[in-house]
Amino acid sequence: MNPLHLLAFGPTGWGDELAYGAAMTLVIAALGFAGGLVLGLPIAAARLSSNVVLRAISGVYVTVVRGVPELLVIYLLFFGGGQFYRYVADALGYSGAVAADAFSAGVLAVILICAAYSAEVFRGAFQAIPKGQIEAANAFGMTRSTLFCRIKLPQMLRYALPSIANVWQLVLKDTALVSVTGLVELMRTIDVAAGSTRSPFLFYMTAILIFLAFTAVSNKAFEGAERHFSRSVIGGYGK
Amino acid sequence: MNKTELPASQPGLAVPTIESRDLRKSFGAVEVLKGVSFKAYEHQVISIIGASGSGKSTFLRCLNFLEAPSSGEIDFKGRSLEIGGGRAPTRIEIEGLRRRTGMVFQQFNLWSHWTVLENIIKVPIHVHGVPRQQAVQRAMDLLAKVGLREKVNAYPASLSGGQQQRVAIARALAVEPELLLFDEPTSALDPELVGEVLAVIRALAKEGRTMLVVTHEMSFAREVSDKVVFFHDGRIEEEGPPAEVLRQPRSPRLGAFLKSVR
Amino acid sequence: MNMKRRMLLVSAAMLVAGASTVLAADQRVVKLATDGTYAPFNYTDPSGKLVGFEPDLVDDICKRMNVKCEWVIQNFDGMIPALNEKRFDAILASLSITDERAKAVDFSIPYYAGPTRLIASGDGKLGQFKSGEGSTILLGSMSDKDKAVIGDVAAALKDATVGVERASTHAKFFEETFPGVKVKIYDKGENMMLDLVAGRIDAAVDGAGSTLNFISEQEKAGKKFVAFGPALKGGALGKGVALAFRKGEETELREEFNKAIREATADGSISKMSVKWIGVDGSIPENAAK
Ligand SMILES: Nc1ncnc2c1ncn2[C@@H]1O[C@H](COP(=O)(O)OP(=O)(O)OP(=O)(O)O)[C@@H](O)[C@H]1O
Ligand SMILES: [Mg+2]
Repeated sequence: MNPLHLLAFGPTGWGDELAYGAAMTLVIAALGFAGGLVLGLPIAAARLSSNVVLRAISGVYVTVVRGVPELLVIYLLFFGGGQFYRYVADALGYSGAVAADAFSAGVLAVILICAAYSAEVFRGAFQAIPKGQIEAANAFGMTRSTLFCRIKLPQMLRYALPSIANVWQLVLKDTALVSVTGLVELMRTIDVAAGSTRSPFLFYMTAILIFLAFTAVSNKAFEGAERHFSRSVIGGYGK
Repeated sequence: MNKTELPASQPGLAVPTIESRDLRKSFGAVEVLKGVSFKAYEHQVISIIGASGSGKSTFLRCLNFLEAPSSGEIDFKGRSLEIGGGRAPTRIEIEGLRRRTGMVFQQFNLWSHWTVLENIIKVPIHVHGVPRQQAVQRAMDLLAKVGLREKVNAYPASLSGGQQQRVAIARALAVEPELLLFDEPTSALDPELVGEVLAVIRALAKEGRTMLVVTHEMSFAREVSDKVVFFHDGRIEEEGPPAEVLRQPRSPRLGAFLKSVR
Repeated sequence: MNMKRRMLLVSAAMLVAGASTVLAADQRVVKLATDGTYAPFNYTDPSGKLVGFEPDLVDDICKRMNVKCEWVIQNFDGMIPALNEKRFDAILASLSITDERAKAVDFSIPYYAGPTRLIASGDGKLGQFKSGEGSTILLGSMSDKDKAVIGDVAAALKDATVGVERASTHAKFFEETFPGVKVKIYDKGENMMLDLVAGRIDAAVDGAGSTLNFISEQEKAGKKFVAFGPALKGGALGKGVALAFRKGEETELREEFNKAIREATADGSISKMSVKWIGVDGSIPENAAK
């Protein structure tokens, strides 16, 4: 029999399960990436702050999260969080059972990891902004917030973009680690299908192809974004 | 040391556009400005000259607080911004002063993510609240004036140094400043590009704008300025009309300096 | 639609630690964790349903205990931490009893021990070996007759080279049971089987389940291989697979499971279920005796 029937959609094949898992992977990656970037920005700002305490805390955070295996972060949130959640629940006067659900724990873990990596990218990118351009903005009386939103942020993003593309790849791959919680994303679905049908080669190859497809599409998107943001560097005319 | 004298053109009790009194600035233990007292009146063009490291740029940057002065006082249009000892000026006060001045830098410092037009209109729109339409209209006029209308949609990276500096001048003019500060506007330019920028600045001087120009171009200083100020070792060593200061220097140091640049 | 059912399975996994033991008024709920990726012991059909030897076993023993057993799907890697987090009451996921794991969890008595077989080409001398055929020998408690059969096997292997897998319990077992026989150790089971097919080794040691697969696959390719001698269990081969409970907790629940496993072994239910799903009898007769 043609082994590809295992990939069919419908009750006899794994096609729809894989589609669901792939969608779940994208949802975790997208939420984790978006949350990570949003959280990464203030962490980067704290890293560059003149306040010693902020600098120390953010420095420790970035070093620890990037230094330990990502799996450990997920374990900590999903399995190790129990005592913490219990403590919070008790404080709120709730005595029932509490635990992180796999989805929240997974997304949170990806956010925390992505935040640490993107904070470092942002920090480097902020430092790459030519000082003279910030000075010019100051000299014309821009407020701090105008300076940040109109000068620092767009310039920083331009420098950060290539590395942010790498962070996205990292995030996409880290979603696979979330499968340890039993959350049915792509990697978990692949494991279940491979183990249940005893066709590991077929399913692992399929997983590789799906991840490569994700990568190819996101590479294209980031290339487009980079082109858009670096037109000023190339020195083209108009928009 | 010389006391600043009112040029004949100034009515008796006019208020200086900007004035500094005993302005001092130290970087760590090194005192770079050692008490500078200085006045610039409306419509005056003042050239600031002096050897490298004498504190010209630092002085100019202290006037709009890009460097925080260590002590002394700065008055802008008669309003005092006291430094050290007394109350330090707030960020809002400093921003207020900066919004009424324009600055042109040695390295141009155009915002590289914006087109020429955007470089000129963004500050009027976002800092001064000028309607976009009006800001664009004014930007086009200014670009015509500096001879760069056709570069309106170019990005700074695609322009020559001279073109970038002319855009930077248009940017400074767009905020209709009461005082223009130039820090060696032609020093980073190839010799063949210096002329086009000096021509623009000369035209501005003729319009009667109040300008402080740190420069090494002695001929420019002679032709254009109402007053020349010579810095030496963090102090004003000599000042006066260019004809006197540049032709018959009283200070031997100024004499030596003028010989060295000729 | 099977996608929906699958999502239900997911939500079940998510809700794990929600209300623990209340629910149905009459029947106690016991939550058991499995991985669902280990055919034929526990696996998932494309509709998301958990099937295999262990789901059948659980249906059987939970009925005997008069409890309602619910599955929690948990990735194998995170299983013991999740047990300690009280996301479920016990693990039932083909977890073999090892000394290392016994430090972290309390095991029930084993409900299954896969027999180990020797396998060789059907055309050779070993393929014709008949002693002990069809019998199962418990290495921990051998009768004189059993010892004689082992002696026969040892004699037949005298000039042979036998392949064993490094990571399994097989290497230790083989050296203890057949001292002096020439052994070749492999890192990977597949490489061992490839060498057996190529004739570079004369026999190989493997679990009964995979042996059956191998034999039927080779048959399709027109090659004859056979398992010879008795099926072997116990002793250095390990204690089999069991439920795991949080260390020092759930002692009563564990006893209830032990009792149900004894009953299901004694009346042949486990034997029948394991033959149905795995093709070999993995029940542990010592259990029934206790
Ligand atoms: N941020 C700083 N930190 C420490 N020292 C500084 C700093 N900026 C300037 N200085 C020092 O202050 C002194 C005056 O510098 P300044 O730039 O004002 O000189 P200048 O007269 O503009 O010279 P040039 O003609 O070379 O531009 C120099 O000795 C310089 O090294
Ligand atoms: Mg200078």
